[in-house]
Amino acid sequence: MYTYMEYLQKCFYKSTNWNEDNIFSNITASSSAILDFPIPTGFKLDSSNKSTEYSASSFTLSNYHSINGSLAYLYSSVPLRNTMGTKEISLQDALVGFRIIEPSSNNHKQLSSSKRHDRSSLLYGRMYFPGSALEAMIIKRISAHTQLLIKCINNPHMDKNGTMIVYLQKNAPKYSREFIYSTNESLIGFRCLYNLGNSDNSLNTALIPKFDNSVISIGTELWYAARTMSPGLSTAFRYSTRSTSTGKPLTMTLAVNPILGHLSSTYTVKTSVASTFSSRYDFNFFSYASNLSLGFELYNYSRENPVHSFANRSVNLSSEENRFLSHQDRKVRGQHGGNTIPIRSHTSIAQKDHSNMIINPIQNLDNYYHINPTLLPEKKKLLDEVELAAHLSSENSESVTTAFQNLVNESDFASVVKFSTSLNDRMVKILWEGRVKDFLVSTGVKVGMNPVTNAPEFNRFGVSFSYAC
Amino acid sequence: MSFKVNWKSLETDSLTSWTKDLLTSALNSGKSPNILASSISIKDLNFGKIAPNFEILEIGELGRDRFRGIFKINYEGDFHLTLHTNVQANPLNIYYSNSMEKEIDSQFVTPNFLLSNEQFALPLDLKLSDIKISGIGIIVFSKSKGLTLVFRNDPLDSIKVSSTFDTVQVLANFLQKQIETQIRDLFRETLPTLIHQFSLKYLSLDNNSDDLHAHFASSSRTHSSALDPDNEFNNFTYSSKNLQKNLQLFNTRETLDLHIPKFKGIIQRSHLEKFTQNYPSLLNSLYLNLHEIDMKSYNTYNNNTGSNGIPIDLLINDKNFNRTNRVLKEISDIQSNSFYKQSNNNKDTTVKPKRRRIKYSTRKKAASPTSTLINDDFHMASLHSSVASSMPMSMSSSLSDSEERPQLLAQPRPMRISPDFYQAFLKSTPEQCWYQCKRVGLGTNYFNFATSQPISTSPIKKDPARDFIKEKKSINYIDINKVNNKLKELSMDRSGKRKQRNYGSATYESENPIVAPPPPYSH
Repeated sequence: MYTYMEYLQKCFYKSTNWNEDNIFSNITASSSAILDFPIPTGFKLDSSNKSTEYSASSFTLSNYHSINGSLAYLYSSVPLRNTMGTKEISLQDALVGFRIIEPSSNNHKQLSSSKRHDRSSLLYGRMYFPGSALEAMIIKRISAHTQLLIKCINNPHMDKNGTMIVYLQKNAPKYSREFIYSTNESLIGFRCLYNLGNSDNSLNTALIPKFDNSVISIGTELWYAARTMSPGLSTAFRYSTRSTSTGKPLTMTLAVNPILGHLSSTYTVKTSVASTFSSRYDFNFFSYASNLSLGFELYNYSRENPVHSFANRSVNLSSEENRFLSHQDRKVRGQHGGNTIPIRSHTSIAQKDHSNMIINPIQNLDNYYHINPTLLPEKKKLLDEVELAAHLSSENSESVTTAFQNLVNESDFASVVKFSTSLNDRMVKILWEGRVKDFLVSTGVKVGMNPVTNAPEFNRFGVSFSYAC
Repeated sequence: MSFKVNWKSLETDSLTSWTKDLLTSALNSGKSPNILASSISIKDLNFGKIAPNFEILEIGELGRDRFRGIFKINYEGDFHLTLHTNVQANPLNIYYSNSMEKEIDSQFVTPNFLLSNEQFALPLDLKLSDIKISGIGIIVFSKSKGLTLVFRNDPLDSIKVSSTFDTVQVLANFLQKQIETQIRDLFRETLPTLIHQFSLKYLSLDNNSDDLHAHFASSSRTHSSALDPDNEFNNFTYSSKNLQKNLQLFNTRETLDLHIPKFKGIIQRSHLEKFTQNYPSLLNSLYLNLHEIDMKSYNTYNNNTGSNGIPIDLLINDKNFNRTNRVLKEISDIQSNSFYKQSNNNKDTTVKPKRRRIKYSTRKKAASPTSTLINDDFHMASLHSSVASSMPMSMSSSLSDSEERPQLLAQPRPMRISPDFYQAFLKSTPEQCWYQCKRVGLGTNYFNFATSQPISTSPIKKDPARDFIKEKKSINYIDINKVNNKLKELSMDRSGKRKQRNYGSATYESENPIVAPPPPYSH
């Protein structure tokens, strides 16, 4: 679960068109959200308020070790209009979960709109008590694709009273680059990420629904701590795509640390609207040490409106789940007594008008490809028809991928259960996050095997409450 | 003075495992540095065959409860120790762990590494061998402060460190240097504190105050007299009533108040005379044995009954030489009897006279100053023992009862009990009874609460879980019941023995064996 300040930071990024998935450190964000989620420790209460569209404050109280707390303030030069309090926020936004990687194609549209965000900035400060430790963050957009991120902490108990870290980030659609410097042992870092493939086929985006939603990214990071002369290096490869038949997104990553001979491969798939599964296999080809980690997250629908409505959506999916959903929808509508609008299935569309709609190139009924001949560029005479079809398709129906994505985004979930285990570490983590009244509650436990006595023991346990308005 | 250390006795499994456990917990205590990827375990521990040379150069102070000495230790043996651990080989992982420690709440200024901070643990075996130690140290032991050991110089001469990384010369040198400084630190700081803590633990000094606090609350509830002989369990307490009484007594001594509070079973020094009259001193015995010294002359010397001096006045004043001779002979007889500890039953076996001896091995006897006094002066001691045996009568009856006196005085002479019986008596009765018999008043140890022995408290009630406290008897504790019982037994014994002794004394008088006079009496 994001803290409210993290959530606002994300909103800031979103409203200033900053693609976070294009940063190298987030290349394994999906799998680590399901496998390496943090467990709260002790009791924590977080109460936040967005007083104006530009500023917000937060108060945190926790009893880890002793009772302590913190006060945080945030200022943004851009009005944060797209934020929501804990009462109405959708759980998908509030929690760290699976991230659907968008191909950075249609950036040319946003470029014009983001002109006014060129010089936007965000200031954030937090004071801890007791102990009078401070942390501060400045995000300053230099140009449309470049920003400066400075984070520093000041703690009088530390030997040098504090640390500062500076990120200079360039985040273009095709690539991203980062230069990092930290005063802690003079750490210098460089990170880059490149997106492969010609993603912006701008001509046909309106015509042909994007079947090829895959993104291939390759990145690397280089570190060198000058004071201790400790180097670090790793490279990573990410392939993110969506199933063309079902529209379910999946992400595969492969990360290698050539210095240490470490290799880590992950496979994360959103198996349904409400569930995600992830697995990771680590292997070291110097020491032959290996580790297999498994994890999943399961969303529960809220009681108020248990089934998502498909009123303005025509979905033609072949999976059992969507069939169930459409059936449910129909039943609900029948119960309500209203006029039942049947969901336009692919078959009915195909039967009704075979020529003017392209929805899915794979016909799920007979496993046969029906590509509309009118779409072929040779048929110039039918161009107006094609345009009409494209217009119709964009208006009335969607491709499976966007349909699935919208389904995910619009589902009203009440809670989520996360589970992860690791064979080599011999531990099990369970986390429950959900909405209780107007609060977002996160509680979890980590049970590990004691390596000496082989007896299970509780490593971590905690509850965290969060309220924001 | 040097010691021969029985080094072979160290080669037991139990000791080795104990040492391993101790070392493992000591090595893994506290926060382990981030360079260690796992805890440290002990793979092999061998004490070797060669013992260290241990030599005491000087003993500065020697007491029952304290010791200070300078010693020298030399070791060039074949002790070796192998440790096993995992070392973090990725420096960026160490950087990450160090940086995360500085974070306040969560990961804020630590950059989000992807895989470059992946941990990579290398197993490391570290063997310490060929330790050469030569050092001069000072041991200070005090019962109240525990044991302190300080080295005057740096005792470590050399040590050989061999590890898995021996092939890498840089690492090997680094490890060698690090471990040498660590061991120097160990000798300089860790070992003295460890030893001091252990000694404190075994002396259990800090427990006493806890006990006092824990039991004071309960003792205030019951308000029972500590000296109440009827309530055995309540004997081990400081009751507030008792303390009040003691304070009152103390005040009377300070202010010369005439009103002296009375303690049950305790005789004040001002009333001591009534007791000492009946002490079987030399004069008393003489009088009883001779039956001829008239009451008048007895009474004249009655007032110096406390001393065992030879009544010279008696000899001088008497003009009759025969009688003087008999008196002298009787005196010498009594003295030699008590000196040689001649038993009545078999006169032939004379026990060798006990010379002045201080035994430090048997602590119980040596613990109290009275017992050394007894050893010094055995004659007195035997007299006291007979006093003690005559005590119950004087205590049970009123002290001023003069009718009782002849009955008391009917006991003819110092009891001739066998020395081992005496020893048994001494052991069975707590030492404190001597205070009761002899040392009463403020100037004595009895009221001196700050004695050499640590004062321990005792529970007010019998607590099955705390039975062991019964063993720790307070210095102020007088087990009157026990004394009374013992004395009753004794008096029973004596009444049985009396006939026998009468018979024995008859034969003794008739035969009158010539015994060598005792060594000159020092009074």
